[in-house]
Amino acid sequence: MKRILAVDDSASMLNMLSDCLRGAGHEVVEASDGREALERLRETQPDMVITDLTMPNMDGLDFIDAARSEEAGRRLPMLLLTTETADHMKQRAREIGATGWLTKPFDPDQVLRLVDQLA
Amino acid sequence: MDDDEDYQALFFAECVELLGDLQEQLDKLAAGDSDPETVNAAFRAVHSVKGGAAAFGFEGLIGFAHIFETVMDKVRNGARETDGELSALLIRAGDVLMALVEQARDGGEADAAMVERVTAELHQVAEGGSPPEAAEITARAENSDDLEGTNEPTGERGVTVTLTPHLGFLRVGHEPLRLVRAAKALGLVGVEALGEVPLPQAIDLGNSPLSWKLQFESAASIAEFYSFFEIYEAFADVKIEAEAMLEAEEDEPQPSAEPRPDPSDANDQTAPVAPISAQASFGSDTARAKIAKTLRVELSRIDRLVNLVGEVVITQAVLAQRLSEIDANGHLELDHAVESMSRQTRELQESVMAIRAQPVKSVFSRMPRVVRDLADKLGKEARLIVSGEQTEVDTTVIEELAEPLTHMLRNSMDHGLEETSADREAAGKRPVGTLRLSAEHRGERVLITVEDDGRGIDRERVLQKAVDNGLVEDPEAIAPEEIDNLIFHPGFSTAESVSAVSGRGVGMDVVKKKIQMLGGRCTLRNTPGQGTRFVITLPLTLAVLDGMIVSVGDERFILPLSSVVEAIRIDPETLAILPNGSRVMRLRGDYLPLISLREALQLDGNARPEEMAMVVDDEAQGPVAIIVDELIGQRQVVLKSLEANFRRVEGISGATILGDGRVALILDVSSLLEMSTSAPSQGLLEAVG
Repeated sequence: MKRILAVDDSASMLNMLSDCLRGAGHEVVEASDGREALERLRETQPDMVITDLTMPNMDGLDFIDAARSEEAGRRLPMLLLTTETADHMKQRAREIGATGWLTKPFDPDQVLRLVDQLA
Repeated sequence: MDDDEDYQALFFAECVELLGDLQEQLDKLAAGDSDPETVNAAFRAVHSVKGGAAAFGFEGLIGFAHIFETVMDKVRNGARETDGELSALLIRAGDVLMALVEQARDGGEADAAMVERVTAELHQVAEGGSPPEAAEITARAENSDDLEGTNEPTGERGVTVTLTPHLGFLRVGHEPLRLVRAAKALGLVGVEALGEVPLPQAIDLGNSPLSWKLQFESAASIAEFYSFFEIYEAFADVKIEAEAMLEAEEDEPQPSAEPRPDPSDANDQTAPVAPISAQASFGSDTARAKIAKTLRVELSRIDRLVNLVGEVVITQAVLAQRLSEIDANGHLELDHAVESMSRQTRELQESVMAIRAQPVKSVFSRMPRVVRDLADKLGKEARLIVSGEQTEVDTTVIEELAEPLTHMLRNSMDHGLEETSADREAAGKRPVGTLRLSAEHRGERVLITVEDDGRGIDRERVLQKAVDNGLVEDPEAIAPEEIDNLIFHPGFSTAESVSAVSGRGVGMDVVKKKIQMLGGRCTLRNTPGQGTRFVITLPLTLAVLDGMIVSVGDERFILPLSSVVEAIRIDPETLAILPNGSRVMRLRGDYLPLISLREALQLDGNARPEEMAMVVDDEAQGPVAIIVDELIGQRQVVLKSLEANFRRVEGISGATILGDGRVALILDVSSLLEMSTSAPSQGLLEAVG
């Protein structure tokens, strides 16, 4: 069982992701934007982060960027879940240290497998 | 799983869009378009289809999309010139991709021979050759027994994956031990570290010094390997090499053989993923055929439908009216029928309008970029907070919104926010400026707000400018809110020198005009020192509205129901005349400004006094009473543009045809209030109270 921080501003997307992870016996910590996620990260020390890209207050990229300089975020697998596939976005994600990205719509099996692979 | 199906439906809907776009770009390429963006767009389309296919495990699709993408990539980075031959191949490849997507969605079978031929041709190009002649392909296909990767996986085979981490591989959270553990599920039988073990002092915890060679004995498809290792590719080179099936059936040549890409191809660092026979891999997907489909329809067809439904609504109203005139008692069944028809008409109308509704997200999502670019250009720090993106509005409205919104944000960035972070800090604000863009439904309207926390509108400067430009004659007689509204005046621009960002002759008047064209209103609230808020209110649809029918003399008018708060029979004792001659009405302790529709529109007055007061709520002025002769009733009416058929009239937003066949004008409440001068200032009201 892993503790996973799931971040998405869309409640339905967040539910879907959380249900998928909980269904496989993982513990899920939820946050609805980057800023909240940063707090949860400090409080709960998750094993992995899956975050949406476009969110109010603080988006996924800024969140990962900020998280990398937190003790709890060093060497933590952090995935971006996004519909964006443009190369410059991937370039930027790489630069700030995102572990990788998942394309929406996500495949639950793939997500669970990635948790096994990374967390 | 239902969710899964939803997602698949979404994926296929996306595919249809992507492929339509692809076709368009490829046609442009074939026509000799050399714009790099054309190639890029085509590449992205193929790439996105591949990404989705990988998520759902449509293996034939992944394989084909991959080789297609490889070729597009070569075209994109200039490694391969586009000539007539290649463009023709790319267009064929687009067709095949489409066929494979349809096959994945609907089951059925793509033309296997075609898939096979185009795949082979693409491989040929990927390896650096020209598209081969058709005869050559046929020969290849016949002689395909020695080729691999196309047979139904019937047994295990050896797969070797070489993973060479880049700098930062460990720093972003990858952990080779976890990888190895997870890879066991895929049939990992051995791991070998390649390269030299670095001296202890050279070990950097952030970087992994080695390459890993992973040996698999696996029945898993190449697509599964591809999918497993995709996540590492951002920070590692991954090379997947598959041996031939250990127990492949030799006797039956499979339909989609293709040459194996040369492993020495230096440009292709990732796996030379072997396309898998469409037939073989899609067998199990036929069960997924029952999914929701989306359909792209030309807007003009929907518009015709909307218009027709509008006519039906009118006819229905006429019918109901006539029926009530013929026979007031009896014919109960007929009454019922008309009743249901009116309900169904309304549902029909709502359904049609729902087709046109779209979330504002498509426009809102472009705005953060606008703000970012402006921030760079102006050297200001700002962030944009967007909310309510899912709010749905009529398609036409959405398309027209981009320009005014961009302009408003530009205005806020340029004029609203303080020049420097230091200025902001001096004013006790956070150094980074905040802009907010939000949308919400309010009744039958949509509210869109653009807000900044800057310095607000400098009234002194605006007024000075207005006086200089001759817009204002007597600067003493103008209320603060009126000063604010001067920025909507045509040609007004407060920028002292024409700035590179705003200025340039396009002012807020253009925004206002655009919004009015959409049947909306634009108001602003200025709090000097604290910021400016623009509020746009738009009708949900441009075709129908719920209205109250009122009469003045022989004329009928429609007041939009959304602006009516209540209707009151006038009690003469509650009326009062202020010293300046304007009238007010007392209502539960408040004094409401009074507007006579008869006077405002200069209708012929028969001396009969007005009996009804319609209380309307206006964002700018608060509640106002509009007095009319009679309230006739509530009705849904179909908007007909007065401008298109006649000309624009102040105070009137359109016209409609009533049940009795008469034309009634639809009142534009806010412009009516603006026209009317009877609204007294606050001070006078207090004097009366």
